[in-house]
Amino acid sequence: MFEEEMAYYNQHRQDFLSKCEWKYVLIKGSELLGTFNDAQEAYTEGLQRFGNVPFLIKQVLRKEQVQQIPALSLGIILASS
Amino acid sequence: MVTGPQLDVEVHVPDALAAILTQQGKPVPKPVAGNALIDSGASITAVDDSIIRSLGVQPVGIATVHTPSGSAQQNQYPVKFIFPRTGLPPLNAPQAIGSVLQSQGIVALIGRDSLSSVVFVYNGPVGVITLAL
Repeated sequence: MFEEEMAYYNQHRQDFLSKCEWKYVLIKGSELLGTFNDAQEAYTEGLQRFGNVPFLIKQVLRKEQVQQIPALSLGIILASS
Repeated sequence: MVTGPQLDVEVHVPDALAAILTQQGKPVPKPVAGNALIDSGASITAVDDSIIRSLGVQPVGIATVHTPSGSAQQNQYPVKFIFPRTGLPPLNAPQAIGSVLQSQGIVALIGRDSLSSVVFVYNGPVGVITLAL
């Protein structure tokens, strides 16, 4: 999912970093629909433009984040005491 | 077994989606209730993937998540959590990760992105959680 949107983002990443680092971009297909201060604003705009369909909301960051959820990745939520 | 800091939660569609559905005369899906685990070790909030999809919420991103064997891509969804009978305000997580949680007895995992706006105290010996805004 979002292959086309991510390809567009990666192609324009340097431009985004110079113009709107830390903001959120809203992308559908190969089109940038806008930049927003937070993801909820971008979601509301995406819903109004396209309805309830997938679209990409991505924060423009110099270093991409890798999320950590050790309890899930290690399967230890149900670990006994 | 010690269940850790858990509380009742309802998983709702985001307010923006509920408003659009109402405008279109479509029914707003009913929330799904379950348990949420507060996990200060998690960098991001997660919601059960099958539940959020059953509510008709569409993905808005993909996140890279660290796993023991490397990294994996997981969908991100906007979601609204309500904690009934707690007095806590609703929690809007605009880009929660969709994960398999129900098989582990929870429907949501509240990570540091959400905890960053509250004071969280876990009194283990008496099994009491305090969340203050």
